Amino acid sequence: MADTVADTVHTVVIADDHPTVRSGIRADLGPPFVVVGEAGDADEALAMIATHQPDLVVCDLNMPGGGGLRVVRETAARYADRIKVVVFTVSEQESDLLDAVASGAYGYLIKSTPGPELRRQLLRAVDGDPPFAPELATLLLGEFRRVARNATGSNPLSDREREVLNLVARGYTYRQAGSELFIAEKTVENHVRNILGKLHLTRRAELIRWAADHGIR
Amino acid sequence: MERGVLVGVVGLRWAAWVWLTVVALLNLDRVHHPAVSVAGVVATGVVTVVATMALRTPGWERAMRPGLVGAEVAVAAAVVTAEAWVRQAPVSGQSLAGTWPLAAILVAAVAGGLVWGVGVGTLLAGARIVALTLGGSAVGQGGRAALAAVSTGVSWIVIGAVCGTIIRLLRRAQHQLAEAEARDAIAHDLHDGVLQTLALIERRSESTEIARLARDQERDLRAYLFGGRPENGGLPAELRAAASRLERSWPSTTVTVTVSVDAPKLETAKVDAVVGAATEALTNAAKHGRAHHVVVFADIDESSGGLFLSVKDDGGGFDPAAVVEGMGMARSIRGRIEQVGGRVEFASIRGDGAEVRIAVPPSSRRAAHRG
Repeated sequence: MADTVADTVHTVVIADDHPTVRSGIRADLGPPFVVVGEAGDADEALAMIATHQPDLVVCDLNMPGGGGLRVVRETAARYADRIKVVVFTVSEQESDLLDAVASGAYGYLIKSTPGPELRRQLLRAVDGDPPFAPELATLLLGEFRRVARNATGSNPLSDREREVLNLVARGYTYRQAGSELFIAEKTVENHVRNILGKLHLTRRAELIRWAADHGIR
Repeated sequence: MERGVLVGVVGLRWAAWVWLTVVALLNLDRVHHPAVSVAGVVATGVVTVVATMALRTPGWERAMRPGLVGAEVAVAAAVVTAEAWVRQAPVSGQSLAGTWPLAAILVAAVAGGLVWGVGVGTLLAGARIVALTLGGSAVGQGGRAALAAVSTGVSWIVIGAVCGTIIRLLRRAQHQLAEAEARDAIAHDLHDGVLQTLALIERRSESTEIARLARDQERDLRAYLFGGRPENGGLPAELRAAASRLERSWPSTTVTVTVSVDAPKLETAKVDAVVGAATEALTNAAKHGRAHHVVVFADIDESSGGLFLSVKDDGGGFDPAAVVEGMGMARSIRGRIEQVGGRVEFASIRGDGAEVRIAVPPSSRRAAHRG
């Protein structure tokens, strides 16, 4: 028993400028998570990530030293999916979610998420399943429609991806969405990852177009 | 904003003054009183220079003081009236004053809104017609001149009214913008403060009662800060209120409400029906399904342009036969929705949970819009 627990230990760095929030997250996680470091600002977080190379980073957005977005961006650029940064914030603002995902966040969770649910979502994350709340799926549905209306005229999502996003927005788990669509749960996860990837691309393409339109190079 | 308009008017003044000067000088030998003509050119020139200088100083708001606006209006009225006296005969169809009086009307509208705009427009229109009568051209060949004078006068009044109204609308928009900015600033501050604390209480509190209170407060605060998307009408707020009510009655059930930005605005009767149906579906999920978590989701129904609403729980499934107040739950939900022309579907989800899917057609105005 002890051996299996040791085998599946997941190391975590928590980055948040409020000590109470950090200790709260630490208490919620429990085994098999091991918190290897707590950081109060972006610089500290990046240093700790470089030292400990954790499996997971739970990161606030509003932090001193360039904020959580800097942690997300630099970690994603350096380690890709080897170190997954899950944003954990009070913000349900569309722009924060989009910027976080576009910067390479692996998942996005809201701080009012109850402790057991946070734990469950983070366990999913280490299994390669991006944690992704219904609120956020709803935001993405709107965002992709806006992109379709404004830019290309065609929705960047495939019909299947739209169906997946719609089901997640309605509170379906990936497993339930899979059986609803007669596809494997793994396939649903892949669709979600692709959706996030497309958001990243369209977001970047939009930024580039915007910059070009405004004469910025 | 006012300064922007006033700077525009300065540009207009210079253009009008140059025009007026050229016309006056070219016609000096064809008028009764060349001296008066020159005086008009000088007076309008002085007004132009003073107005230009006034906007370059920090206290530019003084350019809108009644005294200065009055002086400009007086000069404009004098120029318009003097024209008749100066002229022997209509020099051409063209008025000597040209577009000069427009500047006075615009400045008055900026300073005093609709009332001043229309007032000054009317005053100058009157002066124009008096000038025509004094000039005697209303007699004989004056028919066309009279028509031109009247139409110019009417257009001045209309310009005064339009400009005054636009200024008022712009001021209101500017005010709303300032309010929204203030709200954003507050939202930003609260993010790291109150919302953070509330979230912490929700997650850490041993007491479900306190956690629920924090959740209610958080929802209210968010509704104030980020809610109020007017395009959705009252639906999001009402759905959130229904969710809070359910969490109060059933503390072991939490509800997430998400409303897409594209969710259509419905008339009150439909909103009431949808919220009533959602409330019953929520009660069913908590009471019969013993759900821990329910997601309420509202979006546009892309095929019809109407509303799609889903109430999905992780409980033991829907019991369509459950009786509430003498009526089957399913029948009651169906009844409410069919009353407003919508459709309802009940689904059991493989694994666990149940979903109520509701589609409501768009309001007729919107449908007419699309068709």
